[in-house]
Amino acid sequence: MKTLFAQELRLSLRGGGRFGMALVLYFAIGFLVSLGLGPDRFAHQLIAPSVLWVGALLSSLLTLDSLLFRDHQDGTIERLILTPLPTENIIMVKVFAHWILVCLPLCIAAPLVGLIMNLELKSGAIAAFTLLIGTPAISAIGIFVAALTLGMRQGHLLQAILIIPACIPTLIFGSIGAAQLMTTTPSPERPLATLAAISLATIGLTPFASSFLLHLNARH
Amino acid sequence: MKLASKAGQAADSVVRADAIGCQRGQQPVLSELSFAAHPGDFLTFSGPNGVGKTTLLRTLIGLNSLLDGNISIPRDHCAYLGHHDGLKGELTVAENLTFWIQIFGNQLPSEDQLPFGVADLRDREIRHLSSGQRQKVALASVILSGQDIWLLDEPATGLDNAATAEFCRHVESHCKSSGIVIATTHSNFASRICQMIDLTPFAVPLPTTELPQ
Repeated sequence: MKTLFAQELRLSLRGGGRFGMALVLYFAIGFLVSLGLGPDRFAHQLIAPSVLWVGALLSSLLTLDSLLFRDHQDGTIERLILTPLPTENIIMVKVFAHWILVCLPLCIAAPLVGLIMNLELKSGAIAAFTLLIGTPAISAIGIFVAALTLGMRQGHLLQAILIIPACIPTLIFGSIGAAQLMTTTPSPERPLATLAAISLATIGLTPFASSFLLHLNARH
Repeated sequence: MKLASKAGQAADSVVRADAIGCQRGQQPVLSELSFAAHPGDFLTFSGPNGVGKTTLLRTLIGLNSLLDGNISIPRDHCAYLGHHDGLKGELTVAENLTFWIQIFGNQLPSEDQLPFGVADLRDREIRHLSSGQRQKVALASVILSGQDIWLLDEPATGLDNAATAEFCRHVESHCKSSGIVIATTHSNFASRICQMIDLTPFAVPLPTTELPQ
């Protein structure tokens, strides 16, 4: 498993900054929304939590393609699932690597993007905290959908269509949680608890579902 | 050359196929094929293009679904190499080899124990290699995997005469240490040392005049 993780890190470093793209897009979204919104500073603060969340979601979806598709094309998946290594472990490493390489940098960047949205650093940090809780679900759902659409002729299109509704609960509870934490609404822990539950459930289920799909997919 | 090998540990490493039928897409290609490979056997499947050599190999390892019959194969003792070799173009030869060997729980041996002279290529990126050199690296990853059973699809493709001869020597020494090698080929590069099974008699005739894909 250490070998697999090291391979993922190495590939992302050599891959010509594919993962840096997510970060650039995140800043671009914050910047463009802020410009498009005009000078109303209250409007900025009102929608900032949602923008931070939607931005993180879209940016991390950009890198979904690299999760399994390239491994599928060059035959790595085929050889890997035939090794004595459990396929669930392979998926788990991939989810973890995606989270570390894509989502964690986004979480760290969130307070800065928040500054662009006229959000105080403290509120930005709150948004980053909710992202930390919620983004594992995005990585897990992402790899599940990638496994589902692997090898299909219109796979990319289908992947984009499927992933959006699958991420909606995470997005809703994430941005509500962030907004409530910032405005000290009573009991902000409820959406956050739900968010954590979604993350844990998807992380727990994805390896098994995806590994089943990979084996099914290889057989055609 | 002595290689770290787990070969011989599993006495039950027997590959057996019992009246199997294979399909490619939805199209049956082979039927009523039976064979067995015991430790020490080097089996090759031959036949014209499209007869179902690759399909048979993929069916054996479980990448294609079996149409009928029975297959018994200890999958955890297999190393498979198909048309797509699973090597990463942007990583070096040494990094690719290390990855695949560690996946099988082994360590990369010292340079003079690397087959096919890939030690000379170790710091080159895979995407800068010729297809023959790339095939050598892919074969080296199987040879060094330490698995009992090698399943190889067209292993000699792109290899020069010297490398083909060296490959045959590796296969022979693997078989001597109770390993099994099953390969597809349309040339008879190894006819001296292998049991060749011609798949032509087992081919299912196409129902229409469509060309096989």
